Amino acid sequence: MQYASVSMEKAISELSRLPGIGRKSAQRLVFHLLKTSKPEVQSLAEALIAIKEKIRSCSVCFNITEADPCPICKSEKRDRSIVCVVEEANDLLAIEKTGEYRGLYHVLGGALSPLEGIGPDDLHIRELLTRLNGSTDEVILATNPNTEGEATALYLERLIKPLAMRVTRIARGLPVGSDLEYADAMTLTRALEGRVTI
Amino acid sequence: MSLQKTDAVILRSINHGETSKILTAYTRAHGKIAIMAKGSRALKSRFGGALEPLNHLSILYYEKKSREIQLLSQADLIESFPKIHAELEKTAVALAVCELLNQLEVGQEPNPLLFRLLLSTLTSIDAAANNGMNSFRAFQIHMFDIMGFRPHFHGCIGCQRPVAGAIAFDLMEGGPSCQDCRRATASTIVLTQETLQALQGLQKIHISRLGDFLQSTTSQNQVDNFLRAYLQNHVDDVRELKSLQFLKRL
Ligand SMILES: [Zn+2]
Ligand SMILES: [Zn+2]
Repeated sequence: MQYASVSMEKAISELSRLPGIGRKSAQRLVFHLLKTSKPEVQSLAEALIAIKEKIRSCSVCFNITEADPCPICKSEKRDRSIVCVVEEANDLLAIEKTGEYRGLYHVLGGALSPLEGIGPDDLHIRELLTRLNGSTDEVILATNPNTEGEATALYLERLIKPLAMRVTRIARGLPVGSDLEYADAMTLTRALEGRVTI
Repeated sequence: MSLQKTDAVILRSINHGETSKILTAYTRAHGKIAIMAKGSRALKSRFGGALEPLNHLSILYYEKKSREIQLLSQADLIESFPKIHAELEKTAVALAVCELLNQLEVGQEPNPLLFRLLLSTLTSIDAAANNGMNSFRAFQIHMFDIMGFRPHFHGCIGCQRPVAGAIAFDLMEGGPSCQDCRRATASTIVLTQETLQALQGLQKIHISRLGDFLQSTTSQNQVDNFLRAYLQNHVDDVRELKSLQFLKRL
């Protein structure tokens, strides 16, 4: 259905381009915004513009940030001897949420993908290698446990191992709270491979 | 809507929405299908890690002929080719096989022979002492058979006499042609005796026994050039394989 109002139609079609938002949800959002006070809508619009104007990527770790270098790279409290390599800034956020990790990060900006033609030069790999130096003891490879993520981890391991530092891979296996008997063979194999002495 | 059960190899996987994947699978019974695996990226998905590219699975899915993308119901891992996943070069070569199959018309239709060839090629890449490129070369040679344009490497295609020295291989006729039989308009590729023998070998030796076959880089390049030219001569719109470009950039 087309709306009589051009602005209404435009807002709906813009919103429905967002991931996970169909035309129906977009309509609902627009109706909601219509009922919202002008300052609130103004503040939403400003927040959206600010994402594009203020946020950039950290020149050291490629995390998304407003200040360069980012707060994590600048922090005195972080352990500078460990670098955790992730595919996207989202992954960094997920690890930060655990509050368990105190080292630095490096965001690759994706993963190697033979089928998509994404090679080493398309990721921030060269920048990672120049960052690693005498004060780095360990590099943690925290790429996704899928074909692309594994390929990326294999490639990085090959590059970093000769630099005489510890290279580790995050454990892959059973999700916490799941039932062993329902796990698939692939996941169980990984879990067995990654077993630890207790 | 009907429930279908078949063997499948995952050729490609694309994320869809927050937690789902759309898979391209080559199946033994129904050829190439696109299939949605709902929730498969969620941590506790019942599909677990089975749906990665190159895995050989037994799948159960809901088929609706009018629908472009079918719906996956169940997937059980038959073989995961662990060494392909553990070595980057092998991953790239195995994905090149998938990519080629995905591109070609023959890879769309049900073809149990081609499915079997795909499985034995993956098995052979998994077992290879090197990057498995010979398995990919053999895959192409055998695929030509299945597509109905098997190349011949014995003697002249016109008069059957043995051919000596540098050989003009007639790409359309699919065999060497001697000076006397050569058609003026034929598009040919020049092969050395060594390359001709290598191609013969790839055609004859079982794909599981390729081993260290074809070691010199020169003959590897010549064989690859031949395979490319031959395929291009028989099939329209063959695109450059991204997986092979990736392999070169490693
Ligand atoms: Zn930073
Ligand atoms: Zn002849």
